[in-house]
Amino acid sequence: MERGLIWVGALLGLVFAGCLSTETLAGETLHMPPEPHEQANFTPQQVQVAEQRLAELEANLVVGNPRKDGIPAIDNPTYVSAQEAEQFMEDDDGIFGIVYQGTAKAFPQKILVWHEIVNDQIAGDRISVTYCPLTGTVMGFRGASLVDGHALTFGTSGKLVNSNLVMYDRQTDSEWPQMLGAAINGPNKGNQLEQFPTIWTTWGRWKARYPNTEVLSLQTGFARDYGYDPYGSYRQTNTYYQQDGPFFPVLASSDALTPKKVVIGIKFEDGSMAAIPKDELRANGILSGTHNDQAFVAIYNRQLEDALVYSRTVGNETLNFRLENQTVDEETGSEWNIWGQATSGELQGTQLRYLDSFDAMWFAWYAYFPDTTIINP
Amino acid sequence: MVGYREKVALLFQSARGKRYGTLVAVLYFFLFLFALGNVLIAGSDRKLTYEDTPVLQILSDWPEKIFKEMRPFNYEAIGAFYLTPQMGILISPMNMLLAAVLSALVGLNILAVVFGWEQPKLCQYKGRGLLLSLSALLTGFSCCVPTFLLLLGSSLAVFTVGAIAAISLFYPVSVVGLAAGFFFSVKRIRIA
Repeated sequence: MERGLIWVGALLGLVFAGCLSTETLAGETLHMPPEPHEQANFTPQQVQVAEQRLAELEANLVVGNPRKDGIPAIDNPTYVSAQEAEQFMEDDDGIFGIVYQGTAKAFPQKILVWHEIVNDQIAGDRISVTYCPLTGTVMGFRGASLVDGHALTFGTSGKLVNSNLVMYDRQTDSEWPQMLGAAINGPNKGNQLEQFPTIWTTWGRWKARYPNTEVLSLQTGFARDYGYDPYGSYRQTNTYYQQDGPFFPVLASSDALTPKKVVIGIKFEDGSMAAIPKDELRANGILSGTHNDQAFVAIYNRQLEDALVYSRTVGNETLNFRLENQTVDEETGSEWNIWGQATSGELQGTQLRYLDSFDAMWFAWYAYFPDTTIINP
Repeated sequence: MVGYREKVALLFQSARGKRYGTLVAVLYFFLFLFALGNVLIAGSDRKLTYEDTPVLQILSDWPEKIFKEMRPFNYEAIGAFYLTPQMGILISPMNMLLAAVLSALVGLNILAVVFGWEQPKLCQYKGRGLLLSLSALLTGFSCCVPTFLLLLGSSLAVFTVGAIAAISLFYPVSVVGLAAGFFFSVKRIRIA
């Protein structure tokens, strides 16, 4: 009798909580971060993904446990110098580095794992650095709303698709799966964000290359245990980042590579996709290749231990690259850095065209882009 | 006929019950906050604080954050208190309130259980409601994934979505279950 009554009470609790959770799914947060309304310095682009695919992604959104903005984006980032950052950074701590309009900034992985999005402003541009720990993807974006051309800023929607962060824009509430970089619903549906290069490296390597870098400070406006990564560690080999598969459902899976194998995913300009296993590229140092008649080069930087991918076509000419002490093109012998800039030689000052590319866990890349080609260096 | 209040008063005459009840309630309070990620314990390989970290931090916009629910039954912290460089607590008044309610109910149930041990002829409560208090300890999340699933590994990933839905219910289920357990344990005390 007594046990039965206790369980009846527990069931009543379920009903009570069920009422709450219904409100949760549909409800908004009490606190909405500020929505800047500034005209963007660029124009929106249309995503090269079929309407049907956008609908499929929307239909497969998973409502996670955090509320909208339950994982709070950093909207007012503050930065410290490299010297000041030494207080809380170890040389082998992971960082996401950008060089935007000549400004080098480092975003510690141990901070972004708690916030996933930093909305920032550099040289008048609204930009967002985004990170999804579940898929191991860091991507830099800037975007303009289809509605009024205003610059977009982002928050976390509390939803996932393919185990990947789904952002929402603060201007129209459209939802944007991070790895797609495009909105799948709302007034911005079909809008493709412009991606800019990010480097995933360690603090020691970044500060050696960019000693004047600014570093995202621990003064984020939130109280968190920034020394602790809830998912594990990139220093180890037996945590979520290395082992087993995803925690959330995915739309497609492949055994071609192990689920957490890091690939450099490339979105080509014709809409086709390719993936380069990062370890193999590291061993090779460079990959100068062609995919669907599109000439590309993956430039690996040994100092930073990361790679970025560019078109090999400059004007009407297609360059061929090889690795000497530095990446050089065979046609002119000019030297090129990881940012796709010729730093010496006949082509000095020339900029290669960046192809949207980023590190990702294989399971996530394939889940989004099952028609991908694996390119081994 | 002895009324409900008198029966509760009788329970509170058990000195051992009050002692154990208080002890378990205090332990449960911190255990629950630990499960939510608010009690911080760092291993010897790292520190929670740096040179300029104050012992007590309160965020300047704490009134905006104090009622912000990050996920069901888990609220934003408005500051931090560091007891040592290896031990601290994120100050979330709402989480502390949730922990206080639950730990008080756990304490009352322990009181009833101890009373039942001391006076088996008067009360036979075995504390089954306490089992529900364990479910509340599984409500902790690491970002998007339930902490206990993360600890068990992604081989159990098939349960993630279901577990997320269920975990939202664990806190109210614990509260109602513990309250019901205590209520009926008192009601069934047999004294003339």
